[in-house]
Amino acid sequence: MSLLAILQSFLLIAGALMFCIGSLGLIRFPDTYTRIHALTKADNLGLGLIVLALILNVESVALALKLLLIWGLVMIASALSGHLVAWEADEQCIPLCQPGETERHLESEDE
Amino acid sequence: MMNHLARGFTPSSFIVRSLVGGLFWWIISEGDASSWMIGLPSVLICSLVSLRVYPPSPYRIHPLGLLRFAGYFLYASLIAGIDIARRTLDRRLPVCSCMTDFTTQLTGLPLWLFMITMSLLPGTLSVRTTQKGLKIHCLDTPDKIQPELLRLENHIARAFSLTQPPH
Repeated sequence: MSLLAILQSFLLIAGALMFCIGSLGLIRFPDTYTRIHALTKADNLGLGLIVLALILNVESVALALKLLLIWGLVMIASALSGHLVAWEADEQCIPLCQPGETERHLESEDE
Repeated sequence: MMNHLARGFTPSSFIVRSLVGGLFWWIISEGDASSWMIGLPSVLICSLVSLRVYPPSPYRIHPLGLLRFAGYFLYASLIAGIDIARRTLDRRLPVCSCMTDFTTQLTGLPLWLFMITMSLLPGTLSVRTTQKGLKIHCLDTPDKIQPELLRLENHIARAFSLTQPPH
C-alpha cells in the first residue's frame, strides 16, 4: 500500500468518525442549542477531512475545485440552518438545559 | 419595465459577477467545453437577476485580509471539531449551555459573515440579532468566549477593509 493510500484511508476514516461523533453528540447533549453545536461543527470537520482525502488523487483542477466548492456550500448551509433552528428555538422560548437535567418543557407536553 | 430591471446595474459589477458565475460553471461542469452552450446564457441571466435581487454592496474586500481570515477560519474550525469531539466523548459531558450578548459595529454583509463563521468556530452559535449586536449561545462561560469573538470580529473587519471596531 502506498503512502498516499495510507494517508487517504486515515483522512477518510477520521472524517467518518467525526460524523459519528456529531450524531453521538446529538443524542448526548442536553438541549436544542447544544445539539446544534455538535452537528454543525463535527460535520463540518468530517466533510473537510473527506474532501481533503478525495482531493489527494484527483487529476483535474476543476474536479478539485468542485470538491472544495461542495465543502464551502455545505458549510454555509449547515451554519445557516443551525442558526435558523437556534433562532426558532429562542423564538419559542425553549429553555436552556445543563447536563444531567431533564428537558422540562418536553415532559409537560407528554402529559 | 427596463428601468425596473436596470436598478443597481453597473457595467463593472455585471462583469465581475459574470466572471465569478463563469468560474462556478467551469468548476461544476469540470471544464467541459460543450456545456458552455447552456452555461453562458445561464451565467449572464443569473448575473442580471443577482444584481436586481442583491445590488452591489459598498464593501471593498481586502485580498490579504481575506486570505488571513481564511487561514484563521480553517485552523479554528479544525479546533472546533476536535473540541466538540472531546466534549462528546468525555464521560462527564463538560458542556455549559448559556446565552451571552455581544456588542458589534458590523452590519450588512460583514455581519452576515460574522454570524455564519461564528457558528462553525469553537463553542459559539449565533441565535439572533439584537438592537446592539448579537445574542449568542455558548458552550463555555461567556468570559472565555468573548476574546475569541473579538478576534474573529477583527479578522472580518480587516477582510472588508473596515476601520477597527471600537472596543
